[in-house]
Amino acid sequence: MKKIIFILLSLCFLFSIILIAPAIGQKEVAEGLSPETVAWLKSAALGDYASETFDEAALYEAAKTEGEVSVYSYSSRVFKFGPTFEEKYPGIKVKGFDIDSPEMVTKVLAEQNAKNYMADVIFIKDPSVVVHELLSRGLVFNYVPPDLKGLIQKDYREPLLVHHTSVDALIYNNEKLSAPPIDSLWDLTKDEWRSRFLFPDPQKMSEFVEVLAAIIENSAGMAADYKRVFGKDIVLSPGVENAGYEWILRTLNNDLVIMASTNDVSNAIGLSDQANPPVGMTAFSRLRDKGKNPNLKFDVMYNIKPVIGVGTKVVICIANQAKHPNAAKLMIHWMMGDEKGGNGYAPYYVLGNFTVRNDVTPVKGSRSMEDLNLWFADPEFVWDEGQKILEFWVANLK
Amino acid sequence: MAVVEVRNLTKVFGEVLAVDGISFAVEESNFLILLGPSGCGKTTILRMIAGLEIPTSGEIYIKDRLVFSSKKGIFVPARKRGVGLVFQSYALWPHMTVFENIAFGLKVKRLKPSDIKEKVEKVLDFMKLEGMTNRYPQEMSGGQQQRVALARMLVSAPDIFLMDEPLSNLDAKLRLEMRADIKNLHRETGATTVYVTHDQVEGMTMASEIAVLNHGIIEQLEQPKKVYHLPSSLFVADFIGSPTINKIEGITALAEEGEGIVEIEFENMLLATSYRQISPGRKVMAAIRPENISLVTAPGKNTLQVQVNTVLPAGAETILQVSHSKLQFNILLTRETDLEVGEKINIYLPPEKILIFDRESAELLPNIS
Amino acid sequence: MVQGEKEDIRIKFSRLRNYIRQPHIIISLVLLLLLLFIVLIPFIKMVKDSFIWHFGDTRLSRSARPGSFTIFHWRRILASQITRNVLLRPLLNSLSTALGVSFFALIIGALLAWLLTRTDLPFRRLLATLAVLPYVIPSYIHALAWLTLFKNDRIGGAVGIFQYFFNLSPPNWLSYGYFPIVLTLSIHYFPYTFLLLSASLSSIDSRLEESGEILGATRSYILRRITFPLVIPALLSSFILTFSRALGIFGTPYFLGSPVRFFTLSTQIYSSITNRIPAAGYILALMLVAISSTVIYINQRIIGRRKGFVTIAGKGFRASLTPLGRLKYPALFLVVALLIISVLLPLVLLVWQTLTLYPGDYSLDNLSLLFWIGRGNTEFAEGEAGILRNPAIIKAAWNSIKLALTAAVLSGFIGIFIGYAVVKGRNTKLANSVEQIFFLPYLVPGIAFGALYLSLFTHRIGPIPALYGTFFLVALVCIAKNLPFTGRAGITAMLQIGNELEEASEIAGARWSTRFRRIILPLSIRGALAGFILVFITVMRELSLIILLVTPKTRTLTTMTFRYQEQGYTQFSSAISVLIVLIVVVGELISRKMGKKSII
Repeated sequence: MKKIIFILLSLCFLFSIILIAPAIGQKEVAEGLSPETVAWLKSAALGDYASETFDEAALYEAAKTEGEVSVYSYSSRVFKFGPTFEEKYPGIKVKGFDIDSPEMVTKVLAEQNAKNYMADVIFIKDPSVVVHELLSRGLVFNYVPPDLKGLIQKDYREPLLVHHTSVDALIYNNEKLSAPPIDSLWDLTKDEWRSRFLFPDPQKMSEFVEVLAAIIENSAGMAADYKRVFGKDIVLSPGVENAGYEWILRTLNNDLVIMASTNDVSNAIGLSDQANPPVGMTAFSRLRDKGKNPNLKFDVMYNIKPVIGVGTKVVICIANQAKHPNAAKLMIHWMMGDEKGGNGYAPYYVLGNFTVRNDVTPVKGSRSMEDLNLWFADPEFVWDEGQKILEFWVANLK
Repeated sequence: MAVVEVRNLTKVFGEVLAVDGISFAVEESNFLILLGPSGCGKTTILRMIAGLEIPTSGEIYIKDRLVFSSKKGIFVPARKRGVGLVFQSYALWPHMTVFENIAFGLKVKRLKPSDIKEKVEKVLDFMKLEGMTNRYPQEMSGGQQQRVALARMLVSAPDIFLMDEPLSNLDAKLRLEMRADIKNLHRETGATTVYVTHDQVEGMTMASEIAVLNHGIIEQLEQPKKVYHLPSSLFVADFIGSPTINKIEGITALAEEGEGIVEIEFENMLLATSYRQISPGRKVMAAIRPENISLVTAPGKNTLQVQVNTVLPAGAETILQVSHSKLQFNILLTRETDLEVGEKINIYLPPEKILIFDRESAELLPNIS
Repeated sequence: MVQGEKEDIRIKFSRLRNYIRQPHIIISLVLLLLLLFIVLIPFIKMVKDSFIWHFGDTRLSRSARPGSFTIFHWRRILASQITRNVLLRPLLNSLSTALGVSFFALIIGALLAWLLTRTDLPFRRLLATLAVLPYVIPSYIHALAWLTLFKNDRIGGAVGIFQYFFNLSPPNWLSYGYFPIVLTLSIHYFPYTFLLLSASLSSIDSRLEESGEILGATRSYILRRITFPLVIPALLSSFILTFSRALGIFGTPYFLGSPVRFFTLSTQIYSSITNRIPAAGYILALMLVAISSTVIYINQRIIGRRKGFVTIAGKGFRASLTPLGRLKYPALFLVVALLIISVLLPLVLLVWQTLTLYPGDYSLDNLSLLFWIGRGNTEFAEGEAGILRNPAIIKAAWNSIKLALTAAVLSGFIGIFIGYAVVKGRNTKLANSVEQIFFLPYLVPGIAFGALYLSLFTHRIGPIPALYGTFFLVALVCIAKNLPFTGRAGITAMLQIGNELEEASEIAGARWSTRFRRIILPLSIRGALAGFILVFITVMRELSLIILLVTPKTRTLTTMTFRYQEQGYTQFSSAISVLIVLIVVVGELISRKMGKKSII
């Protein structure tokens, strides 16, 4: 009897292994666009079949028959521009989902793999991953509203439409200190800033991998600034490639404090009545929190050398086989706002975010991005180097 | 016609042989009692007949229908065997009232509610449970619960009554009462009954036949009287009867005078029996029931001088425990006595009451007198 | 000859058929099949997935071909520049945390159990009821409360109450890392030991001890030589219970460890998976499974298979009470203080925090109900409405309740079947294997269990669609993980019913479905309710198990708490935590009303 049960069980076992096996094979995605995708692109008028003109009324009519649009958004602000969209375009329901960027990539991959097409609009950070893992595989497609083409410079339109640029910059407590306490990134490796430099966790927030990547990509600038600060050429630690990595290593060794969120960083630095406030890197747009909380006293340090921070891009695109392509197009157009900012763009028309439209006046109190001393990480560089940077980071955590 | 018949029934639990190839048949209206110490397999047999346990091998017939055969791969589940069973714990469903408990089987058979009501009320009447319809089992005394359990069995009018130590949870007085009730029930319904107990008194008083079981085999299956007076083995002799039968270890010898009367030699004494034709020098065990020993004043043939160790007066009866050197005897007197502990008395073992068992096989030797 | 053989096969076949036709055999086989799907296959799949390239892996290596075999991930974890920080140190931290927690939880729990069952301490019954509460509260609440109290200025402008009032910055070791993690988790887990041990202590017939006393043994001798050996199984069970739970815990080390770079295997699993390097997460999860299996294996070797796990059942004997004498009131004070620290204080702190308008300002004029009932002032937390008005949070609350109820009902139901199969087939190999195998989910630490399911259900398997992102998957993992509890409750319930009640109905002519519906289910449902409620509470406050599986659609209150905490909106996270406690306490009260003790 025991034997028979054993045999039965082993049979079930084998059976289930066979069940699992195909799951592995089917992960491969064919290069080039499949006939289904081409057919969908045609019907959705996307990719090679995109129209050259923007007819809002026609789009709205088409979208109304679709009835809804689901937006996968990296930020909870989808719950702000969603309702205003519904007001502007009655009859189209917005299903907003607030999903972290890496999770969104996983989710889109899983959905596309399962041919379970839930997403319409993908609104996401981390362009290097989106380009290499989604766009290149034909899982998302770029859509630039034709009427905006002339208002957005090319590198914000290709390969994916950039919704806005955000900046991560160094901030200090301007209640305790009348002027920024440092003027170089290298100051943060000095002993006086031991345990007092706050940096958001790049393991959690991909934009800070971009920040690190930009610093490494511009290691020459880092090396030059080292010489300016310390008056001698930098001596790299054993096994360290360049001045950018060296800076990461030294700040980590200087007990850089890893923070869970940009909000935590600005709160930590900006709180009033601090005896010895730290400095740190956070999203430039955190400046807007100051207006909300009178206890927050901080500002960006605009004069840091070699840069005050790093710009990162947020992109927007349409998922392959989206069921509501017209509503998606309308939504993207809405989110890009108008020359005054616009209701669709309103949640991003804040200090620290920079629109890609060249017809919009900057937010009150904001300097234009050109005036800021920034680096941008090349998505290709981030793609090639990102994981290595992260591993370097992890390896050197003490 | 045999209502229940089992052939070569065997049950193995893991490594343990619980029932070892037994066969028996129960005729129509008979009351068979399976009697034996705990662990002898008697409950297992009952459960196999009921269909609650799958035998390892053998065959079971109920009313000439083959309900189990290991060879033919037949196993009729309990609910299709038409048997009734009273459990040792009564197994009344605590979430149902008395009425619901009894009606359950009828409801399962999808009888009309009016028929169910009629039948249940009839059986309640019969079991003297009127007015208890809406009680829950927990609210009743042990005896009442027992009656409900019986009523539940009766109501479906099964072909066979199976009872698994139904009285063991009752106190002595109630047990006596219920014993009579069950006996009456059997007489009135005439249902073929298989009844399991370890209580030999129950066996003696109620059965029309007793099967004494030991280690999964039937030692003896006969009418109660026969089992008592002519136990087929030492085990049966020992198990049946209270106080326990007296045993004397010895070796057979032939009496010099007389015509081949077997005598038993023990401790330099000779004990005459009514046996003949047993070769001398055989290792045997002589046995005599306590009530068959009598007190005598003078020593003589088959008398022994013994010392009184204990006197246990029990109303009309008295049990004496006496000893003769290493030998111990129980004596049952049907009268009171004023014997004192330590007193020396003579006892008489009547030859015709002495049974002889072979010590190796433990079997009763045939008495061809 | 050939004829005979044929006959032989036929007999064997019919014997097998008869054997299999027994309901409990069928159920056992179905349960084993179920188990295959909910534990073994995920496990095999996870091992397999640790050896293949995944989509995101092209970032790691240009030679990555998704779907094909590689040992890259194992090499990366076991022998690369990150091994020390991704595997070795977290491993050491996990082990030392779990051991530390087990040790302290055992001491607190054992002492409390002894005081509340075997001494003449006043208010024992009331205190015993309250002593279970720290377990009811989600474990990370203690962590959040700790931060509220002892957060220093290392990570946040919003300092803790301690620093706010005393203007003294607590040292890092007090605020973050090993010390507070062990402390808060010990406070959370001591009820395990307390419950198991008080059950064990009160089931020891005090006559055993008294007979020792009559023979002239001293109290301490009796404690050492009679009482202690008798409760050893309970102690070891508590140890295992605490250890394996603490090993898989995610929230607390995440909140309290990250600021000082104190990582454990569970936080590393989380970060690997959120970083889209699932294979690394799977490998680390396998390590967790390996550790807890090893520890449990050793435990079983020490105390023998069957005695390994003590169930809480059994009627209490009248125990003789040790008079505490002059220590009575100091002991009472200690117990009350413990309960205040472990239950009342965290809750009060959290409630207070939810009422502060600006974090870190604990003055009276900073009080506000904004985070509870605010209409969504854009000035705060990105303008999200207070939790009682916030549709996302109400949806999450609904998800949580739905999840907890679904998991409780279904796993409770399966538990009844487990109980039936095990009790009905008592002492057969099949039943024993059902009983033992259903204990497996217990051995797999929470976050690792989530990882198992993530690996299996992210993709389509034959006819089963990709379940990732569905409510069903989250429910499934909760059901599977809690089967050891409901199975145990089912077994206990079934043991109390006894076999004969069902047999009586079989004799009465009822087929199995009728027997189950009319007899077994009504009789066992009350007993199984205890397991049901336990699962409800457990799932309500579950984070580690589901953190990897929850998607925006299936967000629960716990994961919302986590999300808000991570984004720095502490008032929201605290308010949701308070909401969870409220729901759980209501659940607990309902269960008490139903007259059932909760069990572990």
